[in-house]
Amino acid sequence: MNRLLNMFREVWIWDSEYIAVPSFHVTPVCMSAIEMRTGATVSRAFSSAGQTVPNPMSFGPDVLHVCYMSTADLGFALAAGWGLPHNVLDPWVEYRNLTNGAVDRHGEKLEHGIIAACHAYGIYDTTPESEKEANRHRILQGFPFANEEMRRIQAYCDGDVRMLRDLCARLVPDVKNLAQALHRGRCMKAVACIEWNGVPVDTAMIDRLRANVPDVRRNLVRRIEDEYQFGIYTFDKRNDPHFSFNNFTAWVRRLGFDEDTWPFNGARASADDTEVLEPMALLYADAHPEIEVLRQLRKFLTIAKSEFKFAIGPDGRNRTQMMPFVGSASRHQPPTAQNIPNATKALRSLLAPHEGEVLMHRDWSNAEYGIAAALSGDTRRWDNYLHRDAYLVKAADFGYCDYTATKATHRELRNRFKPVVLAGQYGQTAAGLAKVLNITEKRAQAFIEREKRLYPVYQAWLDANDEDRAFNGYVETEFGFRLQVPIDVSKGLRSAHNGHLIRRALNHPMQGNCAEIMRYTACLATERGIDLGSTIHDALMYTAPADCWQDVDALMLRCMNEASEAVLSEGFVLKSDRDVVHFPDHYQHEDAKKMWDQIQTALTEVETAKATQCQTATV
Amino acid sequence: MHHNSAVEDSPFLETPDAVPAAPASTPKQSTPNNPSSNDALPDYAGKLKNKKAKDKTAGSKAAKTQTIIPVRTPDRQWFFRAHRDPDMTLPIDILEIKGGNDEGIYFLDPDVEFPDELEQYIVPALITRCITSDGAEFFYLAKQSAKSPKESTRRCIREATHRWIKQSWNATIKGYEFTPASQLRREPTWSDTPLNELLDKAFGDKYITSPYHEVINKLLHPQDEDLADSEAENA
Repeated sequence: MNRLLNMFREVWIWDSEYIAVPSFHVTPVCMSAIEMRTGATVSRAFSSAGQTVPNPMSFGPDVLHVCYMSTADLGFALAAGWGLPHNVLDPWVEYRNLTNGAVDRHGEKLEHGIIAACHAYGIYDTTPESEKEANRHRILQGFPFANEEMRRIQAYCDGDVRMLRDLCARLVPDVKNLAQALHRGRCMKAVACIEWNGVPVDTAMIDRLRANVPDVRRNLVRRIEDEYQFGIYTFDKRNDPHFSFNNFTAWVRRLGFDEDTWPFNGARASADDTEVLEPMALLYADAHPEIEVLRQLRKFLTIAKSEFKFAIGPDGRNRTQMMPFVGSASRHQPPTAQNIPNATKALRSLLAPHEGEVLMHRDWSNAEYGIAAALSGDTRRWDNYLHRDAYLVKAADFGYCDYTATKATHRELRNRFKPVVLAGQYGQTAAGLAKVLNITEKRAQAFIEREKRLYPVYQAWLDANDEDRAFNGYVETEFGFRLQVPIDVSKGLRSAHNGHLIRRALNHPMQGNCAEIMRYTACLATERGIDLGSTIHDALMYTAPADCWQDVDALMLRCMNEASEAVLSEGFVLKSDRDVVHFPDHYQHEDAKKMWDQIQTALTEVETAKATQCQTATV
Repeated sequence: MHHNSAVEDSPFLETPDAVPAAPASTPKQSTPNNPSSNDALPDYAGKLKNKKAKDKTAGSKAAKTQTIIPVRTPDRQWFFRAHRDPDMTLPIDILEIKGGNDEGIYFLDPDVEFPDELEQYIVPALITRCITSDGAEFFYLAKQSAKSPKESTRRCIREATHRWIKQSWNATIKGYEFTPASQLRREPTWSDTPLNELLDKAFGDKYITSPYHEVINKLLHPQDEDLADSEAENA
């Protein structure tokens, strides 16, 4: 702790209790804090929702605030009207960073809750779990709290602060680079802003969909079945659609696939979205675009079945926890059932600016390729990134076209080479490449060797990353977010288990540094007052007043460029595309426009039919 | 490298110059005030980024106690080192059983006399104490039969005694070739475990100390199932 006390005039360790309702800002209940230099303790209780209580701690530039999973406590501070502190250190993030990718002796992923972290550092709480659960339950019931109830809740909060203090004393010495840790705390502040802001939604459209869930599902399935002749869905006595695996398998075979060309589970063709449908849809985007249609339909039906449980606040904005640093590459992982920007592409069209504002979406173009080119210092690849289409360059490198090919002239080839480029960045084997391109392994190996000769600097960088992985047992981003690589030495490195770990590790510089750029941008954007509402993989969504949206967009672009250079070094600025949505239009993802139109048509048909029924009944 | 000119030429990119000049902050903001924390740290950007030249000479982490010591040829993706002490290389006879319930490599106790008929199945081998880049010890198994790539394995092991290498099979030359690590100078940290103990962990129940061992009986008398139990009876 002395390292922190040497840097800051005050170091406050604190925890808060609040009432959390999805999509609403939290309602503060109480907080407890201890200042590490003086040992002073403070606590504050709120007697009603919305009560104003002065902040007992300084949020100034020479004060550090230590909170576990700090986005929640920062949301508390915002809801209490205290604003945000200058400096944050989050032991949750640091514990994640120290153990990301690590497994326990049974090979299971580690837990990262405060109890698990404390146990890992030999700190044990004496408060019975039943008592904690009772307090949590009481808090959720909300105001008013009797004096005795508030005393118990406050004591519970005090206990958590003492645990956090003890945890910090043991965990902080393990944090080697405090500058990086404080930067991660800064990122948590940006996430607190994103969770506070949210993105605007067409609530009327969601209400219409919610009011007609079974009919829209049924109607949409019929429309798409009619158009694409899937023959996959069956309808029960209530006319509800059901996905039939037998029919799906027959459809897969009708497309010309068999057990060698499509993953099967026994006699059934696999329909796993992540493992099968997504890569197959990408690979056969031109030959079989209906695979992507089926994917989108299935995703929509799943979300519709749960009656569109998106978290939408009274102000018509979708806001959820963003779950920063949860992905192995540290990317945000918000709950897709609640978070519209991260739900299926078609339903992103529910996002629409409210009157008087503009909704914007900026997406880094082919970010992973650019990041790898920049970090490796391979000027030829960086030149490809800036001036050419990376997918078609690879096709040309392999002799499938010449270097003048464009997306317009070679669309199918480009789609075919998308997965080749992505997988090639983290060590695709000759067997994998052969399968994707439908060539012999020998030819695939020749391509891989040719690429190594074409990009020797890039190849040396990949080899150096692999050496780092092999010798350190972990890989890191430029800002120090670490991924442990717990290789099982009892298995070969090409075994499925170790192969997955190694591919993930080799992909970490691309994925992890992309997440770093995204977070740094979020810091700069929120600190400069941009109303950042969500992140989506390599993209940002933000709103601005209609009369100055261009200024805001220019500022966002500057933030993105500064973040690129901070992570990748001076002169390396990633490209980005922008979409602008003016009131009363909706956001639309280019790949899902048709599906959204189908959904709207299905809805309108259902509503028209119901209106006609009503009129007939009235007559 | 000068990338700025390339950036400006790019038809894809909107640079700060290509869009209206950005104000320092938005004219109207509804997002919370988020004060920047980078004032607290002098040279914020400099301290944030990992140093490019990592110390590859540092010793490895505190050694763990291995419960299993694999006996095998190293995986093509392992960086490994071989022990410099010649006593850490031992000649040994092995039985390699392919297929069936007994599949695996068995090690024959050199002090036991085995039936002459077993000779046809015995493969002479050398095992050398080695360690991977992440500190896992193993015995490099180099078969010494007529068909084995003896020369290339010997060269790989010799090379691995003084630098980290990766070894891979080259089907064209029918031998192993190696790639040295380009930037790693760290010396391996060997465990203090005595060699005998390492061998115990390596061989485990695959160490044959009796001529009546079940595996030997099955190998020599595949038709006679009763003999499979003879070792237990003898015992």
